[in-house]
Amino acid sequence: MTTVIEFHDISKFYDDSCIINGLNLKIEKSDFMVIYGSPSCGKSVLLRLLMGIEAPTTGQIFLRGKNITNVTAGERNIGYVPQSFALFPNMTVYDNIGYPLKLMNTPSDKIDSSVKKIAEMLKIEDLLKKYPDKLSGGQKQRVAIARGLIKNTKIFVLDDPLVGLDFKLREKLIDDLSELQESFGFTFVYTTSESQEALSLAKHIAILDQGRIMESNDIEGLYKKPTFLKTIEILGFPGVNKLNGQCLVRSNRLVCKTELFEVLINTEVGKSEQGITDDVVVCIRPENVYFNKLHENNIKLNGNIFMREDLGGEEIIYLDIKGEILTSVLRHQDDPGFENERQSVFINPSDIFIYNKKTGFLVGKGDAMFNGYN
Amino acid sequence: MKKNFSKPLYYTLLWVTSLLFFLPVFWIFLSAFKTKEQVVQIPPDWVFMPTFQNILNMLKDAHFLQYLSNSFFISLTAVTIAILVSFLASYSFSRFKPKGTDFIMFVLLSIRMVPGAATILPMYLMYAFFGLKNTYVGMIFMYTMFSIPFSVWILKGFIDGISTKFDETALVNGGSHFHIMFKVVLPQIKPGIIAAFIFNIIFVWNEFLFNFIVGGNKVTTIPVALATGVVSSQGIEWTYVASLSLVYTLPLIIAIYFCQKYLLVGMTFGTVRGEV
Repeated sequence: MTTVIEFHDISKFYDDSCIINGLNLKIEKSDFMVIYGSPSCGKSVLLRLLMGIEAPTTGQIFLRGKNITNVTAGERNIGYVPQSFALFPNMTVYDNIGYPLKLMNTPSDKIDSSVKKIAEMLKIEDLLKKYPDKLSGGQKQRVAIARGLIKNTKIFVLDDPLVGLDFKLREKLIDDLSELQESFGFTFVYTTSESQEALSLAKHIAILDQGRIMESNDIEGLYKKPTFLKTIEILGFPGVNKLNGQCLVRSNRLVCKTELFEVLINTEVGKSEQGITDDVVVCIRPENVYFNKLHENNIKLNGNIFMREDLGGEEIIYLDIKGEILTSVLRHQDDPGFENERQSVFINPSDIFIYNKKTGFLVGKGDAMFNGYN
Repeated sequence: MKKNFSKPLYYTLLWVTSLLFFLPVFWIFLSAFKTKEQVVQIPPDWVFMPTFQNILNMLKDAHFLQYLSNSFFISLTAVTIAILVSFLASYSFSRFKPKGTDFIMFVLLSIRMVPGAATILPMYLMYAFFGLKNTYVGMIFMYTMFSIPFSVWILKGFIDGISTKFDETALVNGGSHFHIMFKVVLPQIKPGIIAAFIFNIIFVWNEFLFNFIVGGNKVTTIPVALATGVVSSQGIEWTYVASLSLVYTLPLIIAIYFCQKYLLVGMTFGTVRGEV
């Protein structure tokens, strides 16, 4: 794969406040890279640096193999789909799409043929004479993409374009975007603070927090080995079970103690040198909380089912275990037919992820070779 | 029941109040088409044979055309320059947010709050010193200066309401800051520009004090002419006053009629930015 975008040790300061702090990230050709982070974590700033609207305080940006840190925005040839699409309200769809070419002083007959070609490709020919206020959300998105496409670029920056749209429309636009990216092999750099949106769209996800990319991988890689707390929080539905815990050293082994159980930590899995701390967050995915014992070293917990949420093909079971709430996902075909509310659940120690509460980094996983002390 | 009764009463009260305020204007308009005797007649004639002689006499007066052209030239030029300068300033305040923006905006508004009488003496001395008295440049410069603070306030409010995503889109596509200002932002704040223009035109068109004190024969505008140029050996020329008032008021009434929706936007800017 070819790297088309590379951020190398990028920092951005506004007065004394650091928004981006030594950020490194590579984006491959034809990738759908979603940069996920909480609101105001610096996602838009990162995109503005990429597009050349602002310059980084330190570091370098490479685009198509060239250092473009000091290249002006107009010369970078990046398609931009901003938040809420930013279609000029005083221009028709035709003028909006042809806008980049007009800025490049392209002859009007060339603009005309290009606009019509793009409009036909995106099936918006009948909208060309309309003004943006007469368009639906989906139509606006297509026009915004057409405006980017007309520049003959394959790299697009999409700055949280679906924010504020209703659920159904978002669902449709997510499908449209994925299809468009696949069909034309575009490289999409997409920011969002919506986890479901990130998961639906991304081939790769980069987790932005505290001005740095904490983790970047494909969805499967992130799912199997989330090395950062925020990663495990966003990946999967329903959300991960989180328990507060503490790390202790017993017989030269690191043990994680929670209100519900104690488990040995396999520190080789995580970044032990920076992760060992007193306070940790213990994460167990709902799909890893079983109602049947699968192995001898499974941790057994007893609790009360206090709510069941039927989602059609599966059911979310909410358990109260000594005051802690744990969720489990139960497929209908696996339904053991609960006779009463009191139930036992089983957790494989190797499915337990333990994170440093302060830094959010993975300390280690539960040790599959030893029983927890429940 | 109470509601049904109060609504007509409310509208009747509104109509009566409006008519009371409109009555002097209506009287002066009617007087423009009366003879000298009819104007001073008590009780006034409401139904009479109109005459256009007053208007014709006024048009024959060499000074009248000068007053009219002065009013148009000074007000339009001053306000146009003020709007242009204010737009550039507002854009900078809104987009670049230089240090002390809030304080500068406060100072700008404070300037507008200072009563004319408090500044007229230093203005007179300054104008006399620089030889700007009774000059078009001096008058235009002064009215531009008075129009800028209010215009900056209105226009900054409108520009703040335009998403910076438009600017970014233009920049990414190779647009310069001038392009963004004049091709991206300006068309979107048209209601604000018109509102600021009309409000300032009303101010400059009606301004009396500064034109009277630091102006002169060459740059006299209609308000000053109305106060100073209507007394003859036969006393006050009421028919001339009425005709001049008619011609003086009509352009503003026409402008306000066609731009009233923008004026509403201007008056409520900050609450309904850019909505027309």
